[in-house]
Amino acid sequence: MKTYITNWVLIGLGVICATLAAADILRGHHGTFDVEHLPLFYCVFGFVVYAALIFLAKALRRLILRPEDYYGRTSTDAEKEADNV
Amino acid sequence: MSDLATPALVYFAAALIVPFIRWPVVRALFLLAVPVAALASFAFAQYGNYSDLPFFDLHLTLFRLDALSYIFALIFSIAAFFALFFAWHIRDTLEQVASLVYAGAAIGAVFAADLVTLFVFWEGTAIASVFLIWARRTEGAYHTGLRYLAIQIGSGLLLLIGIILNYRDTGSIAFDHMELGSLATCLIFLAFGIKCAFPLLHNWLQDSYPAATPTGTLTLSVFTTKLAVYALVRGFAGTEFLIYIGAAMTLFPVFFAAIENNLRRVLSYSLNNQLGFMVVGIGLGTPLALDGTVAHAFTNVIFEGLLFMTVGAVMLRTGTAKASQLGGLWKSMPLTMIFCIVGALSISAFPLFSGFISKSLIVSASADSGHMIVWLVLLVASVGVLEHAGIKIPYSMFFGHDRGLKVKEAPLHMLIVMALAAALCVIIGVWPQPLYDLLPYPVAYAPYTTDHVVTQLQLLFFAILAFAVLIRIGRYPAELRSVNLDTDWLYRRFLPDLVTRIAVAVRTAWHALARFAAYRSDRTLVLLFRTHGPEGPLAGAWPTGSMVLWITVLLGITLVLSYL
Repeated sequence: MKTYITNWVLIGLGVICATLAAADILRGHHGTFDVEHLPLFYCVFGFVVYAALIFLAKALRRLILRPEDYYGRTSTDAEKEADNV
Repeated sequence: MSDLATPALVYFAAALIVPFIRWPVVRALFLLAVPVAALASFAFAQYGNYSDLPFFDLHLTLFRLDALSYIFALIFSIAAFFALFFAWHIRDTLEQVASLVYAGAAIGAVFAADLVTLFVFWEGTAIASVFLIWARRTEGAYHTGLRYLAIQIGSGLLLLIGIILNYRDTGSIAFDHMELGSLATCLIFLAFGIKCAFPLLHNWLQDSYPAATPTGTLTLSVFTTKLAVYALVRGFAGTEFLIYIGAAMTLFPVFFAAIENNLRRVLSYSLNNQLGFMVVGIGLGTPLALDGTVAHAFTNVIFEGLLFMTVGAVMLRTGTAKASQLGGLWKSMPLTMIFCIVGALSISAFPLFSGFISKSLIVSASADSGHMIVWLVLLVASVGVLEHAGIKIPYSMFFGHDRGLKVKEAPLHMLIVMALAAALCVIIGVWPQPLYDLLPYPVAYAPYTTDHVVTQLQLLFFAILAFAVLIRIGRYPAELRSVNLDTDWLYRRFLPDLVTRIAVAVRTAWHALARFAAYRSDRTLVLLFRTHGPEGPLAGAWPTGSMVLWITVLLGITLVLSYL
């Protein structure tokens, strides 16, 4: 299936991220907490937390996923949503 | 100013007039003039209390204008204008009147200087807003509206009981800072908490907002929850408990939003998460934090509204807001896509966009006060915002899986409103000082430091990189036609099921008891029949002779006994 995340998008993102990682030396280490002073803290944090959120959400889905008509007539979920014009 | 005046009256008067304007364009223009006129009625007034009204032994003040009420009324006016403009094509009188009364009630509540006036407008927002859900006119919307109304009115009743108890305790109905501690203030706090969608009290929001009309959802997204934020700032600023409530609120909706298929519900979870940031600010209670809360409420109304608008525009053209049915719309709705991305960048707090200059006040305030765990939670939640609102909303509508949808670009009036909102997002982001000047406390906060910009960009771009990698390795959650359980399952499935089971058990027991009683009464009847029935010994025709014999015996015994 065609994806919008092409190799070029990945390369572009990689270049931006590499630049930002290099910009880490510009940080003055003014943060309140010690963890902030770790090198590349925000880079690693952003990447790892994003991936972790997705995997946790997928695990949550196993528990709470139900068919669209689960709540029957008392819900709008399985109804026609809007007239398209 | 006269004793009865509050800017809310402009909206109520207009709501009375609107049904009698027959020409659609005139009516739409009239609707647009209402927020402008209401804004003009307070924008240039001096700060102070107006419209004192004696009410039995109490003293009501309908119109308190200070820095806090001013900025909330201002953003409500802007939002009302946007919402009415966005609904330019709507010809439904019910929805138009409901929008006006709803916005008016919210503004009236913001200006209320006493709790009784607050209560009246508080319930006003509940009653007016439910018609935006019922305006969809389906059976599901009817039931959803009833659930919504029950919870909103319930919040109002808790508020009323709290106000009465508070009056008994303190002899005052003034709406000022309160301390948690008495039953009265706890009830008022709970009433605010329901409307602010505190964790476990939140699910009315995600249940009802996606059920409204496409234009109604935009109106709903603004007033109720931000009114609750205002009430908490006014009443409970600095209540430490709120820090933890807020932190939980920023975090849990992130997971639900990531797997939700209905994009209007994704945005409802997103709204819940944004309210969490504001509640943390209220709990921290420092001038910087409170300014952050107010600023974030202001910017959020615009960028969250903008996102709701883009989803509404896509719904209008495609007939659906479900991610599983959408994708590839960048070709047919390029302008809407651009506005959506501006909204997404703003809510994700990219530098130069409005979310950046408001959210960072709260995050900085949490670090300044040494709440490391809370600070980390807010950081995690910020990545979550990027996930569901920054990436998922635009990606699933305009890119994602190309469904071959051939639709027209959004109508002109929608494009104009979205352009206005997007412009505000950028202007406030680039030039935040005018907004900072409006905030209740003087702030000397510089959002654009090298540190701050670099760390924020690192956080966001590495998260985007993670998204791109997950898409490429096929681990990003697929859009599935589904509903996800949340706490509303308790009152939509569990409790009704429980009641049904109890009803079945009671009915079975009752039938068993009735059968037993019927059996016993049958047996008794049979016995009576046997003794007294036609064949029974007591019903037989006795010969006259035997009776005479027994009377003789009886008389004989009497004779013998009397001689003894």
